[in-house]
Amino acid sequence: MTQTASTKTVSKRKVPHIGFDYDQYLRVEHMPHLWCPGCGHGMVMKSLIRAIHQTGWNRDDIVIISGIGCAARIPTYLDFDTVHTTHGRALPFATGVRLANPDLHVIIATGDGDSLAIGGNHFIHACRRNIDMTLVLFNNGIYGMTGGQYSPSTPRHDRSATSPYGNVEPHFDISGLATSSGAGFVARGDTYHLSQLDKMLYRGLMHPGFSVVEVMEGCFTTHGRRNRNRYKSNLDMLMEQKNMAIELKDDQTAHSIKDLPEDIDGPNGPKYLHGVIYEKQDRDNYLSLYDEVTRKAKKGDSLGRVPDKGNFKHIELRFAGSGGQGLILSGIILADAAVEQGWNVAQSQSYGPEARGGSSKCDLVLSHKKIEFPKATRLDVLVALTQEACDKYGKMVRDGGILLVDASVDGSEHHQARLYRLPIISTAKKIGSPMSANVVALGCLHTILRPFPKQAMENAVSKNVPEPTIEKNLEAFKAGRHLVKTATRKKSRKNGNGSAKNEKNGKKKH
Amino acid sequence: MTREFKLMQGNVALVEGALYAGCRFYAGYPITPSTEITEECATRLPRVGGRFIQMEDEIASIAAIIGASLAGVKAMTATSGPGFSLMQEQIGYACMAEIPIVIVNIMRGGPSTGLPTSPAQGDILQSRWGTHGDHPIVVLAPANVEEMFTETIRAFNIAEMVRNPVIILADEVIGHMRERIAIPDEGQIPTTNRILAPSNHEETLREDMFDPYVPPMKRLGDGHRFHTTGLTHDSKGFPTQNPKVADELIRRLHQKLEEYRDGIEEVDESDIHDAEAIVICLGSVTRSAEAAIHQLQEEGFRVGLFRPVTLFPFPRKRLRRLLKTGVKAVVAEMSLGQLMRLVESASEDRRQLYPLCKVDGDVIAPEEIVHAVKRALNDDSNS
Repeated sequence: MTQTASTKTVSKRKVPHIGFDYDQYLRVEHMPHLWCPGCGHGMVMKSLIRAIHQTGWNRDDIVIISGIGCAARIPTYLDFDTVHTTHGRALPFATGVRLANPDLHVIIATGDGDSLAIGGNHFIHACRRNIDMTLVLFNNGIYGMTGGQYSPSTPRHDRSATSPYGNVEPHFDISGLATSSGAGFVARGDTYHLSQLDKMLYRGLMHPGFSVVEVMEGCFTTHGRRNRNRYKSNLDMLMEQKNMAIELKDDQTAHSIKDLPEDIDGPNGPKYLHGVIYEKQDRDNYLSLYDEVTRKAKKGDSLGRVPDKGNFKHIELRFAGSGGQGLILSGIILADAAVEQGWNVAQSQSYGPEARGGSSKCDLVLSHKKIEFPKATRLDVLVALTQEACDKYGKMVRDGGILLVDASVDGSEHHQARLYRLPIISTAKKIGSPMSANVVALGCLHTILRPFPKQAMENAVSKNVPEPTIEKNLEAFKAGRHLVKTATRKKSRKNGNGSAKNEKNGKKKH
Repeated sequence: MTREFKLMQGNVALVEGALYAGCRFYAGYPITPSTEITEECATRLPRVGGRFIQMEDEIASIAAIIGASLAGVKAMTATSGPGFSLMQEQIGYACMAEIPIVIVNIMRGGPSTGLPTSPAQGDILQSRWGTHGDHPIVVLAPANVEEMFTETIRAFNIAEMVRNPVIILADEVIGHMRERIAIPDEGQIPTTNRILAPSNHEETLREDMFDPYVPPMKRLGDGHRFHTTGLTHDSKGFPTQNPKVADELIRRLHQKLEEYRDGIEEVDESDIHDAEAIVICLGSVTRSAEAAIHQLQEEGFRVGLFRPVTLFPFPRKRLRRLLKTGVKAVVAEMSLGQLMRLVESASEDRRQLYPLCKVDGDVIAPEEIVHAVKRALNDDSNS
């Protein structure tokens, strides 16, 4: 997939306001539309048609997507590929369309309630990602379709179906929100200055990033008639736009205008900046950045091989301790070596919600039979790095099973097990890699159990630890192997029976 | 048959299955215990020319995959408990607009935030009835890592075949467990693609269609200039209030699953003939049930297993035939009777059913099932 739609050539196509054939872009069979007399949506729709016509784009490459509401009915009347989605979600639907097929031009038609209340989160994130799409935000300051409840852009003090005593909430500065969230092109037009709106929409469509064109409108049916102190008719709402819009010339920005009135763009002010409020062509665009990701992603590696089965039968192991000790990773390393050697393996884990600390355990069932229950129930081996883990699971070790604990842990009460108490954690610290205690433990286990060839274990370690730490971990594995050898030797000298139950080798219990 | 053996986590095997099935778009939001699916997709998709995006929440994630599917790309999202609740509205949209997508729910303990790192099966009925309105849905319930791979392929195939969302309902144990699995070579497991409407400007009428239940799908950008909506719509996709059209639409949406039932239904039955008792379960409980059944068989009991691999549409007829014999059934589940409700609908005598429910965040152990079966067999209150 390549990003082709972003190469937009400027069209010289002229669009006459009078005598223009709108029907070519309309589904006239679905007319009349459902908008009320005096509504601005039809004017914006026609302006959008003119802007689209001016781009000269192939019509079948254009997709128009909307949410729910009066404005969201626009796709029903426009003869393109159109998607009428759910309330507030037009932007994520559009994001999916645009990423799945970057050859499409995606236009989103949405209202103020749709995109700023229920869809507010999607709005700011769509601006942030700056994916090449154009959002036309029909801002009539009210929920029209449901009968005139206040929206996040209803002016303060205005009455609505849900603010019968006047709206107490401040309203969003939509263009300011879009700019600060990262949209590449932000403009504000209205239904009074239609020629300028055509230009804004055209520039928005041509912009190679995410464009927000906010259009100020009036809804007399549900908003105006509840505020008759200001509006006698829909015409008053239109004239208000003439008086409240402060025009930005092409070379002006909001900052370059001196002496802006205090009641502009704020949560209480009825006046607004009109024009292109922000434009930056080279703001990073998600799609071009993702092409970079695709280049970086390497080909997948293959690690499979046909297994050959040995004489091994069935063994159940558990690694237990606290979160962050890498116990699950030790289980995975051993499981990986086992798979390489042709065994059936079931590895499972349980842990608390903490990324570090909390208790953590990893179960490993290695077998040449089919493994049914995937958890270890009768432990052949328990590796416990904390006292809590040893106390909790020590009794589950079978008679003659192996109990490998850190020197800081007292496991002497579990008489049924062959206890190995070794300075696992301090050895890891000694070699300068305290995070590798898990691999030291694997080294110990390797010497005690000799489950697989050393090479297989080392391969599994290298494959599963982060690349920069491979060397340290191999060192830790070696240290672990020698730890047991040293311990047994010392012990043999002392009591001559080869058992590793020697308290001297470990530190005293904390 | 060349097969590659790998040690693989259930969640990763699921991604492997999705890629095998042709999934090339993923949108998701991190949540335990399904996060590995999102992470794996972020790594793997760009390697195969697909795209990945981490959205701002689960609602946006499922919306994005519906958009991608409309643009003609097989797409998936994955989540757990709370995220699954958030996705419900868009699941209904995909049912209504007949858009194939795959949604994965790796179940964890609930309700609410519950036990994020522990397994549960409390979303069984939500997976069926989570979104509002009468709607058709397919739910698959894998029970091991290998099935995470194969059932995901099947999920995509079913979604494409019937143009409907398919939910994969697994749990924390299967999602996080690692097992040795065999990855078959490309082409060894069949994969299905949706039937695309021919790309011309003529309207495709239902009457002309090869299949009266599943209309060919129109793809964005193909020149159809078609309309998609979650509103009740006519056969051309435009909103309508006509009661006759509305009735036909909803009934057809349901009927299409019935028509394709043979290709959707999948049941795992073993040793059910002559059984004096059976264990009914799904997902990770199956593993314990198999272990328990073997132990019981060694002790001389005649015990079988009945497990819906396709949970919905529920294999009611098959279960009814089995339960009609009067066999005693232990229904083992990690929820408080959600599976039992489904089983009850297939039983004429509820006294033959014995619940075994566990909701403490731990898996049901084989011994617990052994115990429950023995108790059921010793119970002669209904004979």
